[in-house]
Amino acid sequence: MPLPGSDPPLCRAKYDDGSLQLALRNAIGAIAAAQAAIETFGATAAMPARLQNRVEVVFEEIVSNIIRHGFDHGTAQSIAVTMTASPQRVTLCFEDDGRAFNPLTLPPPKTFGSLATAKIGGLGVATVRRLAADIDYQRVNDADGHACNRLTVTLAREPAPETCAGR
Amino acid sequence: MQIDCSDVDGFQCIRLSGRLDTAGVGNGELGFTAMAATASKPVIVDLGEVSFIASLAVRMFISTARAAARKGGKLVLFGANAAVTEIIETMGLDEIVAVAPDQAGALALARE
Repeated sequence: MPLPGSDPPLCRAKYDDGSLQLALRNAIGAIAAAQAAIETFGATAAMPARLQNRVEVVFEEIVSNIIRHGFDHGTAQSIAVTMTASPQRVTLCFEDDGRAFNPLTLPPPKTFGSLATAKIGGLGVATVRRLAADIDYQRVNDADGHACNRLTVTLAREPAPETCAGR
Repeated sequence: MQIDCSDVDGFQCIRLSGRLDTAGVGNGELGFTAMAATASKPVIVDLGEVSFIASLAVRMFISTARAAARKGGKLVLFGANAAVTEIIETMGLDEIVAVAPDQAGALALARE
């Protein structure tokens, strides 16, 4: 429990009926603060090491993108993340009250080509699109009626299918 | 991210360890770049103790390899575990930066 007058924690984690719910503050440190809870979730869901790693990569890339590009610095904006696991898939749902951003409107990720000309921006979103079995984006209203981004990323238990590689 | 440097068969070998995530790269990028981007001969980078890699690390490797190439140097990564290798390949880093499975392979690529 935070002391009176102190900042709330960077990350609050709650396990509920097999799912992990994270409430993250608008701070890059929230990513590291969530790591132990995500590892525990992966262990509880008996995720193989590679799948656990993909979950952590997707979490890192999406959350860091929201904080760096979707939020204004130092605001009380927040991200709610829900992770659920089934025998076939793991689903990560991110809801944030930042600027509207649909990553699916970006052109499909390209190959680098050459070292001299490689474009190094947008790698995070491109990686998530390549790892995911499915991605869905919606602009929705939260419980308080505020518009927010909802991005749902589904990872297959087996390696990501080729069908999503070009998205 | 921790960084350690030594000489291996006449080549500078930089050993990275820990998580190469947003926080890790933020803490270690300057030190890594200072070691690797200024060399005029190949540098091999041991990823054997790296447990996690994210896009900021891939960006760091590309910009460092590019800077090294301008000086006639070369960056060769090696020893990544299976999970880190999957992300390196997913991001396509291995298309433009030399990657070897082990130190012997890295030294062979460095000598090319």
